[in-house]
Amino acid sequence: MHTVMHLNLRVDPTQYISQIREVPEYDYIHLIRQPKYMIDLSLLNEKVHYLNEIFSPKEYVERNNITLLHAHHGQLGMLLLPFKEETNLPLVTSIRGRDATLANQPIGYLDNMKMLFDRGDRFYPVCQYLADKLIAWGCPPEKIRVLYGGVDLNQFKYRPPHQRGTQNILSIGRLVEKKGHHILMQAFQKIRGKFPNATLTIIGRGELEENLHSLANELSLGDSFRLLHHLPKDQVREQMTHADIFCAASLEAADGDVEGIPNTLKEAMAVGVPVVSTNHAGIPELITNHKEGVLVQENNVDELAEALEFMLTNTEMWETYTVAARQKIEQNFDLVQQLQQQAEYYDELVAPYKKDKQKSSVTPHKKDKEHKKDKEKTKQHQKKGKSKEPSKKDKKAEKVKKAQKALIYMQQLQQQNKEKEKVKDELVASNKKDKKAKNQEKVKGNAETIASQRKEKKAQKAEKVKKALNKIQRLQQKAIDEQLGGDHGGF
Amino acid sequence: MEDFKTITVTKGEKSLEIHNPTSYALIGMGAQGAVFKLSEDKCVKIYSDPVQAKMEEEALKAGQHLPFMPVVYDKGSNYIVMEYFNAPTLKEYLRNCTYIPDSIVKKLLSILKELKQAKFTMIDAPLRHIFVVGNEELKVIDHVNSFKRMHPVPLKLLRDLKIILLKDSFLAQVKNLEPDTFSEWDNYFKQNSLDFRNITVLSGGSGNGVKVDSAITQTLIGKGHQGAVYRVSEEKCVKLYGKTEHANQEKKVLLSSQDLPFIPKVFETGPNYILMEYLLGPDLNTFLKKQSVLSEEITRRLLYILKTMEKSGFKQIDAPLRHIIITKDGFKLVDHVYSFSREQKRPLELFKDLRERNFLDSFLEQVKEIDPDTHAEWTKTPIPLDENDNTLVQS
Repeated sequence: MHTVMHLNLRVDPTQYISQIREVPEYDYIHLIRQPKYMIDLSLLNEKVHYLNEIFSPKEYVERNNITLLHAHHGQLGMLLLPFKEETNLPLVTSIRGRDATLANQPIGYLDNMKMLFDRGDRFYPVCQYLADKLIAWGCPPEKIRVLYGGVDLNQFKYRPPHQRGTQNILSIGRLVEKKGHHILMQAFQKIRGKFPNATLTIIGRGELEENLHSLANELSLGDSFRLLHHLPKDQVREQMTHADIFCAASLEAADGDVEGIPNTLKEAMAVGVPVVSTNHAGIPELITNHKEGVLVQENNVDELAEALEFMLTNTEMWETYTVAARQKIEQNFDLVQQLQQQAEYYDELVAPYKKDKQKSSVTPHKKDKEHKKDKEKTKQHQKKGKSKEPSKKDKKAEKVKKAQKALIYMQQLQQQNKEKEKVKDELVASNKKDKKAKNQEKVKGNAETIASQRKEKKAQKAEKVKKALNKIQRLQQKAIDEQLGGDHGGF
Repeated sequence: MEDFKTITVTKGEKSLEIHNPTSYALIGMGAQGAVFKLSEDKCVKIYSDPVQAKMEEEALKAGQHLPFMPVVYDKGSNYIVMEYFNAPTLKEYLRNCTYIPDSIVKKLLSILKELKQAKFTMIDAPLRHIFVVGNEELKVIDHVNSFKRMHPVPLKLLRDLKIILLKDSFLAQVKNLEPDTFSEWDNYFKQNSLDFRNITVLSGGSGNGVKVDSAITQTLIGKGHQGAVYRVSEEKCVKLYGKTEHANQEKKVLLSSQDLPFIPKVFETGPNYILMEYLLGPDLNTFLKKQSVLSEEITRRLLYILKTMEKSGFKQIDAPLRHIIITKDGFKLVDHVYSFSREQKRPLELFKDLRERNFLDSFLEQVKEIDPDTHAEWTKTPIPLDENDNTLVQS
């Protein structure tokens, strides 16, 4: 098995642990900058290491058998550049929101990002919106793979929306400007006349706590409004299950700080709570207005108030929204699928490196992987007692498959670029359909050459390509939240 | 106008003693002197020792032609009036930066080069002595030891950069921009690598830390009254003692307790050193700073260590938070020089540390639940609030 050295901000439960510790077929080292960022004892194990304590990168990499570096934030990617140079390993950088903006950034940030685009091997923005920002900064499109964060569907189980006459609105997110809590509170105040029993609960903590409390006073929200401090995850889930409407009023902050796609929004959709949100950042990639929920212009109190009123009035439509929303999550934002996707993106990088290196230590990986893929491929032959060595034919087929896959990615990206020049509207509207059709054709051709693919598999592949095509990505909101300036040592 | 000459700066017991009858603000204080702001562009540095005033005066004179030197306006036997920089230090300027900008690297290299050309022996400056003024121009202050200390390689600069994780990106660029400088530094570090079997650490005398050779500070992990600890390899570190008596005391404790899970493993000992495992992880004090509640698991682990020490015949039953390292193999307790010699039944320093973190009450409550006898023992007489304070706390 390959081992990926992940550098993230902290060892703590909100830091997209699954993207580090649960990627299929990839072992991990959970690296943080310094010991002081290890803040959760329950997550401490022998795979937690400290960057500042590494004595010799070369020896370290060899001893831990590391073949890939993954930095979970733009700035962490820069930090790993000298390490990459020293060890000559491929470097992947996740981009989660603020790191694609100039909001409150240190000196030399943009220049350093450009250097990272040049020297880094891959960038995994958490939505297409952020991918576009990177491209605008000069990141080569062929280095970009959108990787959405996923929701654990076993933890966030669907239940049909309540029809019990309550009007409890919930919003979850750090108390910072880009979450738009202040807009939501004003919108809520506007609808209170019509819905005297409605309540608004905001869960989170952050620098704006005081401001939001005084805003609540100013607006005379009284008992209808609650601001709950950060709660343990299971309690947050419970709050979500009991909410009637979930709202994420995200917006671009004055300093340019943006979201990716709020993870809590995905979670609410998974659970079956009707959602109201804004056209901000990657959110339209998750929600189409009046399909999976209601979307309004960001930073617009009136529109948001109207949307809330619409939702509260048309309760009979809730289930239509929530069913579509759950479906969207299952199709494109399922944690299991997204981790599989991550593994496939890794595959693109570690395979060529193995060839180049010709190191005996990497050979076993190769075998493992091919063996694994073979196993998958030959599932159809079921328990035929596949021998250890894959046949040459299989190997070839495997290579062809990989090459095709790569080709598809490249084409998609080129396509994407061309389309960029078109009007934005066009991009959003027309493009999806065309692309989908094109891609399905490609997949078909693909499948034919590979022969005897199971129908089911084909469908799955189509799904995946569609995913890549639509560039649907997931973003773990919480990760972003915590990462981009949480309480401890954020950038 | 007020007269800054009425300000006196004298050496006190622990730090400088300042008497300032003027309204000039104190803006900085070090081992040698104190700096007061006179106006928006002038400040005065007043020395406790005129010899040091003279040393700095000479260095400033020798370097007045250098663009990064503060301008000198006036001088006296114990003061120098010089340019004041109302600007961030380089450390502040680089805050949150994860890759040092090439513009800064080039400027630093040019400063080092000019210091060398001006025949300074201290080709070095810590980040806090470098200011970033308009147009990202760098200014360097504090030149007292410029002709005294020998730093052919920027040891302080590199050490400071390492702390803020910018050393690697700095060196990577030096290697590119000035390969000769890079190899010069590299050779220096190779020649001055730590030979712990043949080194002496001088005891600093009562109340002072040990004195160590600054040439090998790159691997220095920490130093205290009895010794200094250096990283030797990925997994090993060495503690060097100023007094063999201390070395012997700690050796005795560590070697006889190797079976206890919280005692660091020892690989080798010498007359004035102990080679032991390098413990990776945050210390418990650092860890608790980030916690909102004290988890019972931590209390249990602390209690286990204290009870085990007692059972194993340790005399000093204490576990200061900064001496506990959270490793993947559990809690480890370091610094055992007095474990067998100082009689102390209650973990008073632990209490004090926990109180500082606001966790003493929860700790004692949890101990009461887990081990009522120990709790009773600890609280039989009130826990002193502070070493120097007679106020007592009831628990």
